[in-house]
Amino acid sequence: MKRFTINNIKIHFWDFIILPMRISPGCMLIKTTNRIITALIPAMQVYVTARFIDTAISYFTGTADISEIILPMGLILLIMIYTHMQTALMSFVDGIFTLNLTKALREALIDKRARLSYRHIEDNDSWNLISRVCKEPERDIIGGINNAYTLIAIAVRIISVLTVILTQIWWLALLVLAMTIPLAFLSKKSGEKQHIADVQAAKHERRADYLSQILSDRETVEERSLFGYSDAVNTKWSEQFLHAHTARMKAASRFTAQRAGAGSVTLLVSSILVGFMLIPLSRQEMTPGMFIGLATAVVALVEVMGTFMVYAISNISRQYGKLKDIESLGALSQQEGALDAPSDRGAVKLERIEFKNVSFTYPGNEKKILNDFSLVMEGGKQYAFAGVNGAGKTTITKLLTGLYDNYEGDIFINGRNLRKYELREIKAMFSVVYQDFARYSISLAENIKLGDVNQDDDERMKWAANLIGIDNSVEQLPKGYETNLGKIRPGGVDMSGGQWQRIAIARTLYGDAPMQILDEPTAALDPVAESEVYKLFSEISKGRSTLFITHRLGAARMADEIVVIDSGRVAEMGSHAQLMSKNGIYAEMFENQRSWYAKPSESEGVLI
Amino acid sequence: MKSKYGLWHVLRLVTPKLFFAGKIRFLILILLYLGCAGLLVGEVISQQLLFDAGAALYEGTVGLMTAFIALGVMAAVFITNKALTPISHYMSHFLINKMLGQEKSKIHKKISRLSPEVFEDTSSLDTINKAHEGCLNAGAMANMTIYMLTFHAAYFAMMSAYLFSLSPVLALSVIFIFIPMALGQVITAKIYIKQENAAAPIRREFDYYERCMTDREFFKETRILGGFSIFMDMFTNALKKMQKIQRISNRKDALVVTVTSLLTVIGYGGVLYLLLNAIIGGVIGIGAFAAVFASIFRIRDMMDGVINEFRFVSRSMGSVGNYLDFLALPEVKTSGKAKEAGDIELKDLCFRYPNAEAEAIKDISLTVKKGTTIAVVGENGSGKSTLMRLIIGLYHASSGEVLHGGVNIQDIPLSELYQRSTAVFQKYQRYQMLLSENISISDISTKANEEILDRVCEEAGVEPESNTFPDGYSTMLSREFDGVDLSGGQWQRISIARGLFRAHDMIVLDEPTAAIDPVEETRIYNRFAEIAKDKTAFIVTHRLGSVRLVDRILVLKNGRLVEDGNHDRLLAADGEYARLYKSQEQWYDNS
Repeated sequence: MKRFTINNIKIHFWDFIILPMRISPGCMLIKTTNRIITALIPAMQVYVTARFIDTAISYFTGTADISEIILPMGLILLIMIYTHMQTALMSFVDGIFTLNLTKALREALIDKRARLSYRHIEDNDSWNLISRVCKEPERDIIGGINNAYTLIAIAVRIISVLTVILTQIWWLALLVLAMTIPLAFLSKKSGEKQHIADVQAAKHERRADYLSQILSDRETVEERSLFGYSDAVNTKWSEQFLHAHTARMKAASRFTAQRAGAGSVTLLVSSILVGFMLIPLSRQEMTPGMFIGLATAVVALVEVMGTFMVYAISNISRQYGKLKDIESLGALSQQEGALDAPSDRGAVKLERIEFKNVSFTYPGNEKKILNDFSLVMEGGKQYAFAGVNGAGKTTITKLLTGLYDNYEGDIFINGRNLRKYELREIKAMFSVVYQDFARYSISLAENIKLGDVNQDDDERMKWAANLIGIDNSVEQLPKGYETNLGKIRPGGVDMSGGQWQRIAIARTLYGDAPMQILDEPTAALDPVAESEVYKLFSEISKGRSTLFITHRLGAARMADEIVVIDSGRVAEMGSHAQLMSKNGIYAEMFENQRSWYAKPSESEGVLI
Repeated sequence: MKSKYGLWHVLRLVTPKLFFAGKIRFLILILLYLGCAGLLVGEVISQQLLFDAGAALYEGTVGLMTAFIALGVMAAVFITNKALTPISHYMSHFLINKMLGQEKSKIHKKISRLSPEVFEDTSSLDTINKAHEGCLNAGAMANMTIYMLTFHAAYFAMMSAYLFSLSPVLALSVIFIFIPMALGQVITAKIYIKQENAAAPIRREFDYYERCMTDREFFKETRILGGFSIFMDMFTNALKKMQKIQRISNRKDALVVTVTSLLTVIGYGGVLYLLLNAIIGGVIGIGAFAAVFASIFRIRDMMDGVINEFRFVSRSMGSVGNYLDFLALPEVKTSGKAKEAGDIELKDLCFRYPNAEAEAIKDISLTVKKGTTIAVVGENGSGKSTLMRLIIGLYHASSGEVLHGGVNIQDIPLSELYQRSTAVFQKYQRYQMLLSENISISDISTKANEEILDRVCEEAGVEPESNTFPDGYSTMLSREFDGVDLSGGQWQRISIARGLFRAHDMIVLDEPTAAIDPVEETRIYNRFAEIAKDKTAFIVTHRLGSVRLVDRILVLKNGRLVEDGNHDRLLAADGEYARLYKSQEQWYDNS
């Protein structure tokens, strides 16, 4: 079977049925058949009840034998058995259906999300869409499917009961039909109104929830206690809660009035219908059995229309909105080759990287983070990028590694335009330790070997672990390299920030990409640990091409070339000695930081 | 967590809360519930009357008028019920929500009276985190209890009485319907719980692998590493394992439903037999037969309702019990001696986190003169932040004392404890509020006038006039609430401004510059000199160079105070401080 995908999917209203039909045709066939049979039962029941009652009456009047009552009695039992046994079957089929749907949907969503262009991940609007769609996606869809079925079943039921009425009093059937239309319309209207009120209330509720978080969470406990703002914020919370409460209750009272009104009206109408039946009954054109059967069916039908139909119609538009969200997600752009493994690293070498007049603006931003940026980097050398926050240092690595490709200007690697590279070639070229590096809660071995998914080499893993000095701590782990890290898998062991950092570096060592990038890896570390990371990196970068991003200039100075980035451009470039003698930005920044460690007499700024 | 409360106890505590959410509404609700139950039984009786009239009409023994009157009665009963039922739902919805508001406010107030260290105790933290959920269930639980005791109880009593009045043996029908249902529900519930227990850890696992492929936290790395197929394999395996469990329980479930359905059908067969017997024996008429027959399913639905409500109530017992546990958590004292400004003294101070084995702070004794500036340094995990929390009074000493101006802070009531103390915490908050609120939240009693705001913004390096804040002080700092996003560095400056806004004699700065670049950092440290003048100031930092010139440096290691003195003295001592300092200094060495 072809795998279900949501890429560029188009959603229509009938997809509540068609979409699951494609995912789980067997289950849907059984469900559909059963739903239709079940919907036809009330109509059949009219006949069976009529037959039973009429036979019973005949028995009293002595025109029928007791044995004649067995057939209708058996039919009644048969209908009962079917009605009940189908719930057992359906609970089984629904169970399988849910499993199939969940699997297909989850996999399709993951596939789509993992292929997305990176900019959607950092863009808040698309990220909100993604989060919205992927929060228990199967729940709303299954709800929608059930509501769609309910509507179909009600339609079948109405039509079949009407057909029965048609055979008795034709004009009565038309009356019932005329009644359903305004009722359906009313349900839809009330559903929409409900939605508007929900949006109103939700706005206040979101705010109230946020304030409640401030008042309750562990994260805020220090400031909350010290600053003593609980009472004041609680007052604000009460205001928001009251607004939300009032809005919800206003909507609820309107909804209640509508439900009570619609219910009363339809009942009144159905009573009149039953009243009309009394006339043929008195003329003996209709049997008492048929009268009782029809009266019961009409009252039950109205009940169903007044509750289930109203419920289904008022919910299905919301659920359709959810389904439409999947369409919007499916329409987001993808990155070519996003899921590929890196190509063979043995075949790639890094000789030269050139940025030529590169300008870049983050989506939804006005400021150019890179502005006509040009730079040439040679293979085999160590580079350090320095500059204040927001100067564009990290952005450069995002362009280089292919996460963003909508920049102006060109980037050349080994003389070939980066845009001409396939993503798996770029993946083979770089390995990166990000500032916010990932802490994968999988085993230590799996963590390190992620560095190069094309090889599974225990020796190399141990070598990398040895080089960064975690081999000692590995011995203390309960299962050595196979120990699970983090709290997800059973028996997982917690690591400190410094240990995770080392694992991340071990990963890049294992990968041995032509260029290794370290993006400010020391923010969370104490001075001794920070100092060790610097040493470690200078150790491992010998003979490799490395790029080290930092604003601690003491660490930058060990690089062959220091690139000072300011306002999206290269402001200065050269070795530590060159830049110091130049007496520019770098020298100033360096002196500034060095002054902290200089003897008091040497330092100019008097601190504290 | 298994609650120590019994069902009766919980209900007795919870139900009155609903009453106090609106007394008159509550009484109306009960009347509505009783009324609706009566009307439901009335529906059956009026149907019986109509059907009998219909049959008689056919026979010609009554006229059309009689039949119409019977129809009118039936219509009136049905319509009244149709109108009242939604109103009762509205009423209960209203009361539950109102009660929720009152209880949540109570939670907030309660939390404000808890000691911050309670949040370090995992079991108490769990109790606090689940309090909201418990209070959400409490209202529903109270309503459901009342619903069961009024609506359902009245319905079954009246329905049984009606059946009994038709023919005593017919009252057995209720039991015929009830027994198979109850049996089935009990078995299903057991299987459901078992499945959840087995599936929960696997569900967590595959949810996690999904995040490894798609979440912001992992996205860049997983993509560049090309790790998708590896995580997809893990995901698929975990999903398969999970679905296998679900398939098995689905089969079991279906089997249970089959068996109970069979039982139910047999029960119905029994009812049908009773009815048939009664009608053939002439005990009941055609109308009664048809009306009762039509209401068999209704009786079953009502029982289903009771069973579901009972299940909800017993399932909520845990969380509601937890909520009651939460309300019983011990609070900090609210009366005692007045706080005195003056020296800060620590005497043999020890502190152990709840449930921790080792002490985070061990035997620290020292005196800090009023108005001095102190730096606290040490490796990660050496106890710096914990010591600060003890000095501020957020945590209470496990043994030993903290004295402010000679008064043990344990004797100072909550209302005074934090007066004239302020702090910039390592885990500072990013309030999704206006810029002005973000700053002035530290001192609610001070009216946030622009003059003070301007001063602290200037000191902290926040520029309210810049493009970063399109609406100046009224800029909403949150994308979610239609405002702007800030960088980490900007947030840190705001947190500093917040700390300074609060009127204080003592200030604690716990690593206040981690997210700020070095140029800005230097500027802020320079400003601290002025800011901390005449005030007792504690600065916790990793940047040893920046605190060289403070009056006094405390060096912590593994919770102990290992060194105490000024920079020159400590460097000369060549101990822990010298080691830390040199590890940084070497990078700026000129040689």
